[in-house]
Amino acid sequence: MAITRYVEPGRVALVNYGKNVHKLGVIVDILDENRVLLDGPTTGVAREVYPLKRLYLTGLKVSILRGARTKTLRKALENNDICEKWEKTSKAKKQAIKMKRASLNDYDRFVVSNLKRRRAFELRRKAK
Amino acid sequence: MVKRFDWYKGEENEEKKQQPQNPTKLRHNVQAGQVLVILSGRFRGKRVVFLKQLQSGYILVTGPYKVNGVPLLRLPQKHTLTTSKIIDVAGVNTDNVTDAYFKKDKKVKGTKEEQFFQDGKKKKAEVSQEKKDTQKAVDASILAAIKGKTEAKYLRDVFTLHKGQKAHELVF
Repeated sequence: MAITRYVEPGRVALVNYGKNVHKLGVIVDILDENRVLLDGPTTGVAREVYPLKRLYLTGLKVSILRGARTKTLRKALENNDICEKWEKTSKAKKQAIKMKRASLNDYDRFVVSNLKRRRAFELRRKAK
Repeated sequence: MVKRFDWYKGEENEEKKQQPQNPTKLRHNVQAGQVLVILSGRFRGKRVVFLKQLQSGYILVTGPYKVNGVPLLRLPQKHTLTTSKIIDVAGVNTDNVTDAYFKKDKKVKGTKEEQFFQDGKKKKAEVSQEKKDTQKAVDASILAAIKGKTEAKYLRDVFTLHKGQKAHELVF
């Protein structure tokens, strides 16, 4: 299958690692084959150089010119409702589930396992 | 060091034995009713209800006994893991449970002949009726508070790490 998600100015990317993990940013400029300039004014990601290895390219794109300033980028993001479009994607939903599971405390974890056992019991009972 | 002589040994010295100079500092997020996980000893893995800190610095916890078989227990705080779950212990009165409650009775040894004939069989340790009554009294309001709720099942459950779970990544 051909590559469709290019590394280009305007490509919305998800940060995988580091202090801004799980946040969205937009590729503004490309330094070399490994690094890009990322900016996320609406999500709290400062304009910084990121290695591509720390990013996951999404299917979303904004139309900005190479090297666009933070102010222009912010306008473009808000006009295109990128954050809302992102929340609807399955990747975003899966990420939310993963983060929720990681934040469960001891009691919550027990409640979940208890519900799973009850569900399995009911299914087995109905299968008979 | 020069040996100190207790010339004027009075009543004050008797009480000091159970009070250490620097008793263990109770963890800041622990309050009465907090669920703790016991990490070592006979009841390791069991989730218990924290009641209070004793004079000696040890913590007083209870199962409750009917729920998970843990009686009124005295533990070092270090052997417990604090969870964020708190159970309502409003009606619990633990005033008569102190370090003295946990003092071991001196074993009454029979004569050497009697021991010989017993063939090394150990007498099963009996719990006094007084202790059973205290246990019931302390547990009564806790049991009433959790009756029929998931909390009761939660206390019955034993804590373990499952596959893929990392202790340092878990939130308690």
